[in-house]
Amino acid sequence: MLSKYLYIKEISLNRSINLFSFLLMRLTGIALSVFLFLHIWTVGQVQKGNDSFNQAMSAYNNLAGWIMEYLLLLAVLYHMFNGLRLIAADFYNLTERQKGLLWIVVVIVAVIASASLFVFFPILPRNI
Amino acid sequence: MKVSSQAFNWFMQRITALIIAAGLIVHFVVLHFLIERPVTIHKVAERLQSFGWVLFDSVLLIAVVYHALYGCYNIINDFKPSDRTKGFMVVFLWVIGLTATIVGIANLLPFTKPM
Repeated sequence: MLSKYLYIKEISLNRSINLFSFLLMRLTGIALSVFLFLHIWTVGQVQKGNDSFNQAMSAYNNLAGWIMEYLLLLAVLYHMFNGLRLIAADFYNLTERQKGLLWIVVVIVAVIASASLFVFFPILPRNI
Repeated sequence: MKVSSQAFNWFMQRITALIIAAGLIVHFVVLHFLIERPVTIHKVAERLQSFGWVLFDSVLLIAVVYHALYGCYNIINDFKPSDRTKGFMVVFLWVIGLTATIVGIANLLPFTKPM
């Protein structure tokens, strides 16, 4: 029963990088949808007053908060660039080049994620 | 030519994706690169005194809510639900989406008051 919801059959039938990218797209999509509601709730603290909002924002200004925000960035980057790859494949007839495009997505995500480390973790020295 | 609602939603999922991609880059740059931590009400309110930014955030919110919930609907459809479950999910996701949009836009309003 549970295996149906974990795409187990698909994984056993087709172990390819494309299936992995599809599953990661689903996973990041769910994670980002959950975050959306958490974000609306956090910003909604402003309805209780200025101090409540500032307190809610300060709650994320620590190592755990930075790690969460960085994981969020990784999810956004992958979902966004892989989504753009799918749109390009849909509209520009690039289906046959999907695999190559996926590696370009991986490189772009890795470069931006590495460069963003210094922004998301203020404890890291910025001038290395 | 009649366009089916499925084709319309497929197209809108792509359009909202492009709006979100552009909007999120601006959102991340403004809130993570240009504003010093921690984010405070005064820093956000300063930006939201401009109607353009309120409009930008509202459009981004609507696009994100639509994209997220239609994405969830697609994931549910992966598991071939019955027509009854599908119908229930459509109503449920519409209620969630409209509520999130109204609450989200209402949350922007306190920032527009002069501090």
